[in-house]
Amino acid sequence: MNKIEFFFFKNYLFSEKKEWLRFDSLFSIIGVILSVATLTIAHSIFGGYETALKDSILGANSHIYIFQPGAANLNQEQVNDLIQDFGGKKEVEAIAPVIQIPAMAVNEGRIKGALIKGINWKAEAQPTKYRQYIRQGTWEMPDNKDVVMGKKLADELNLTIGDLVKIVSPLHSKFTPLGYKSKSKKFKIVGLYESGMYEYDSKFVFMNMQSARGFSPVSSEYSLIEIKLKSEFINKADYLAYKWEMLNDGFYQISSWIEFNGNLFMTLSFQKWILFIIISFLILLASFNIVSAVSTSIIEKKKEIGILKAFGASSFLLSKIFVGKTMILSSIGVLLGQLIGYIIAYFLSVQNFFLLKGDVYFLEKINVKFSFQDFTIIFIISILMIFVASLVPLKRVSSLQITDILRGM
Amino acid sequence: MEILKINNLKKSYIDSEGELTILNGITFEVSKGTMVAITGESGSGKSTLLHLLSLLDKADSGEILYNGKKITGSDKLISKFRNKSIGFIFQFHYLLEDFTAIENVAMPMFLATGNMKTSLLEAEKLLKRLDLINRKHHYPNQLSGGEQQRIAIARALINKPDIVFADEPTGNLDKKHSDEIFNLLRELNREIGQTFIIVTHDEEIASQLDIHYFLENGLLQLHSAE
Repeated sequence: MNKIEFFFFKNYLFSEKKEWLRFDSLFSIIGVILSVATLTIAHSIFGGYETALKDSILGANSHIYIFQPGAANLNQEQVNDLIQDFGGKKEVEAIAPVIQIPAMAVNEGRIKGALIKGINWKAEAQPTKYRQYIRQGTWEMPDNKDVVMGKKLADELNLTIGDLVKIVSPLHSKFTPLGYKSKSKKFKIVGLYESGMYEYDSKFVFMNMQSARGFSPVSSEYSLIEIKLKSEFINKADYLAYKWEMLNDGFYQISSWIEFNGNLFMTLSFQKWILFIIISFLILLASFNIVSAVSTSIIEKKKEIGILKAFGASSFLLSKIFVGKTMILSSIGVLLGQLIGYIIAYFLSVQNFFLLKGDVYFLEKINVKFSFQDFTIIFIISILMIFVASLVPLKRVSSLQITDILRGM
Repeated sequence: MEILKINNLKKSYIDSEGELTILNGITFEVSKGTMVAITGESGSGKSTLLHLLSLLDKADSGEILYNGKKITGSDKLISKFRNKSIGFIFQFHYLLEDFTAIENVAMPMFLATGNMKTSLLEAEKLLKRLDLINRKHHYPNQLSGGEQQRIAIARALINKPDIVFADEPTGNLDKKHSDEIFNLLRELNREIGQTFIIVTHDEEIASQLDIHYFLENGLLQLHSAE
């Protein structure tokens, strides 16, 4: 920007006449503010949903799972060997065996499907965020009758801390003279677990390893081994799982979180950008208003254009001044739209009045993500669209002949 | 010395009724420091001639020489020449409404140099000279018709042009302000030797200038001279 353009822009913004307060300029900028705010809200909520979902999935689950191929369990010896093999790897932060048994949780005639997770709650390094997700009570389960339940599951069964819950495992039924009898036991709820992921919070029942084994037909066996990776390796889990499986000659089945959830995140990302493109059309519509405002301004300023041309101003300089004025106001509009968008998105994220349906959307709370990268992308795309739109009426400036303007004045 | 020399200048327009010849071979010279009046009936082509002489429009044929040189080249070069060597005063002041009086005066110099500080200093000198210094921060709509035209005169002079073209400079003013403006142009001519070509309807003003041409049927005829 040279001094001449700067002078014109300064005069435009700060002169007593406040040209930018004109009705059509103001309303075209309000259009930009609203469309950019809409785009910002949609993008930050979608981004927030994606991030929160990822955090919940990665927090409630480990990153790599080691199974015995087929439906078989891992015995103690295998578990010891695997912990020795994998525990020392530079990528591994925590490793632990887990017992997983499908079950039912029962209270006063209410029955809900559940998943027993027998864990070593005492271990300092847990492969999941089990301890961090305890919202009420404790994560310690020293007694064989203690359980930590998903909060949603407890709510659905009308249970809370200190209440007793009956856990039934129909998979390991015994034949009695009265027919098949499922394995069942009453437990005391010592903690309520909430990861934010509906699927887990309405299903998980944590208990210590010994209690879980009570529901297993074979003692001293484990369902799988869970591995938590160091943060820098989380996105390489897929590759590591494949590599380690190959190194073990396929003796164990090793899977990663990406294998189970990769498609979900790919779909989410795709949807986010499709939504971005669709909402960007709102900005395109707002840009049409800008074309109209710039055209009107050129027609109204025809006399000034003629005078300035007569005194030596080139069409290029005049065009730059018109575009510059539009861009200054539009940039303020875009920034204001982004600010308003972020404020509204923030309020949506802290309110508890409107919640999502957890059983449909996995998460109940509306989450938002504010990132500098998204901010920059929205800003650049909006400004680019408005810039292109502002160029459309400019050919009028160069086509205006000074003599025609002077004669018409 | 001739500051401006015109040879056989022709200009015609084509409209629905066919070709309309406006200027049909204009030839004349203007010496430095003279005041030239061009009169003629409405539609005789006075403004067209002024636009051609000031390089705002292109002639069909003929030659325009400034200080013996033909000014040719790109639009940008011609704009630059116009900015530096030619001043304009229009019938209506045509000041830029969004700028103050001093900024209006400084504008042609600012466009040429990009230096607003120097341009404002020069504009201030001119405003003092034209007794308008107390109006420097006023916007055009806060000035009287006479003041607006004096600001327009200051604007035409800021780049110290070789020649100033004035198209009906008093046409929009009452007798008192008209005389005031004419006397001012006369003073400037005497004091700094400024060359003026003035298109006017006012025979009284025209008769007081150094050379008076009359434009009729596309030709320029000497009306009277002092």
